[in-house]
Amino acid sequence: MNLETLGQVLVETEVVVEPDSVALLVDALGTPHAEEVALRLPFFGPTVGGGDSVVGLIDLSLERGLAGGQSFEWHRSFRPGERVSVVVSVEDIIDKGTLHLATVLSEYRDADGELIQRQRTVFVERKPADEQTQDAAADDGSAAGESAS
Amino acid sequence: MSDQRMSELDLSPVTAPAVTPEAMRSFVDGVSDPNPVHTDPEFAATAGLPDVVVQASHTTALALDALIARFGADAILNLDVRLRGPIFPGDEVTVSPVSFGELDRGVELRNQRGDVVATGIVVMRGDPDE
Repeated sequence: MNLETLGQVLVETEVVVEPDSVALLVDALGTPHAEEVALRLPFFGPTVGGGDSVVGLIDLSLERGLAGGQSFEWHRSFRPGERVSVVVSVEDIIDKGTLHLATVLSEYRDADGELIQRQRTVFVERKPADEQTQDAAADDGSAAGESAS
Repeated sequence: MSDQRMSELDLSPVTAPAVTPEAMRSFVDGVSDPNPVHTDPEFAATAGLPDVVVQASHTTALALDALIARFGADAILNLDVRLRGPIFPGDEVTVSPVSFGELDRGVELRNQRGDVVATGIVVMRGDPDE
């Protein structure tokens, strides 16, 4: 993981709340309130800029990393078909024992600049084995003992 | 939210429909997440997992769906979810309100084996920290 990306804006773009994408989320949930849910979370900040726009820039290993948490601050639901602006940044990225932790913040605003949603995703990445060995040696052999489960 | 209104809340658990592989695929397509750990069992194995796992926002959606079913969409302002364990294809997730007091509103997500797969903190309209 690239700790030098702390504070950087990784994506700044506009996206449309595509009704077809909302329909896929509704199908996935299959519940009476699925559409209300889908319009609260139609975008995943780390991929809203396309492909590996975030994962690649923070150098997150998909083999060693997983999402550890997610938080949402909703100001309103999205509307099908509306165009919104989104800014994705690295709010926090740290070295913690055998792990790297990154918090990716995405903020969505409407055409008037009004905030629709703040979304944070926390990624947890196990360090490569050789890096863990180096860290353990630097700590006189006392490993931190955390798990990325 | 007053004590009287708190006592009127329906805090019974909500069990979501089983998460099928098709539902997992629809969700990752809907949010355009190309991470193969959600769709490719062989890749999941390279990550040390026994099978593909549910996407993060999908887990959040299961929690939010249960909260909206109980309290309505307008009542839910913030949701902070910690992913505690993987959700696999076929899993049935039950969402239970826990510690649902005036200052501390939590939810817990468990699979059909009773394992906690996620926990969440909710801020609702009218809460002191709204």
